[in-house]
Amino acid sequence: MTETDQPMPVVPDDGELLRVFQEERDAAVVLRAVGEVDMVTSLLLAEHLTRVEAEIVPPAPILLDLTAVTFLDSAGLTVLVDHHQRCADLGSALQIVADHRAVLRTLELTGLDALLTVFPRVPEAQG
Amino acid sequence: MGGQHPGSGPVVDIGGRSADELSLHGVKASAEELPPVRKLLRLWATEAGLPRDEVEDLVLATDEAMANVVDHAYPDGAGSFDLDAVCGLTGQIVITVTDFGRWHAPVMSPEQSLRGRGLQLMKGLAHDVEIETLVTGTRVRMTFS
Repeated sequence: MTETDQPMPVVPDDGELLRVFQEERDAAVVLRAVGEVDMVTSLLLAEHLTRVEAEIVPPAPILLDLTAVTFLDSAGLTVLVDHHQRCADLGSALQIVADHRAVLRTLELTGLDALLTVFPRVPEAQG
Repeated sequence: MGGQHPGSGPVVDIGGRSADELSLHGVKASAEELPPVRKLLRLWATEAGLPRDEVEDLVLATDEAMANVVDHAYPDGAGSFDLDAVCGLTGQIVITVTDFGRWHAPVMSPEQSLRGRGLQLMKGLAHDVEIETLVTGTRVRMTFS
């Protein structure tokens, strides 16, 4: 797994708060977020999603692996909802991967577990 | 506020403050300030003896209150807010986030501004949420038990 060579722009000094790694799985793209998603770093997450949406060949999905995200607030939720819709509009799908409280409880409290597609783990590559 | 209660156990110093009270006053109302404040609050709540899940609930709810200040309290420029956290003898924790802004007044009330998922999270995570409009600004008070 290699870190994407995209710059870490937008806001200075977000340091190691959030890092995003990219991996290809067949036609699908896996974005793996590590750290905290808040009103600063959600901008970085949105940038990565926007970039991958421009590259993805539908109907291949974008998998957003949040299993290493330790904090997710409403700014992050807004990014998830926006890009869930964008991916659907493209004929792709945003599939969220999470199996832990920091993400699942936040989705439940806001009712977004009913809207978003969440898997407990990243599926194995086919073939 | 809070202070030290007899029988509340050993007092742990966090940056010169007792473990049962955390006061961060004059915090710049800026998104970049929130991660270090969350870190301090997480440390304080852990030292206060809260289980890990409750620490995270408290940190998230407080983050939402602070994010609202950053987003809405000072539409015309820079400002600051105060964060106070007090742990009572029974283990009840009260968090207050106080700003000195106008919340787009009179166009937008704090209730309208604290809308959507942020408020949903605060109400879901805290036992009680009160939003008080002061002459000087707005105070959000959350109780965790």
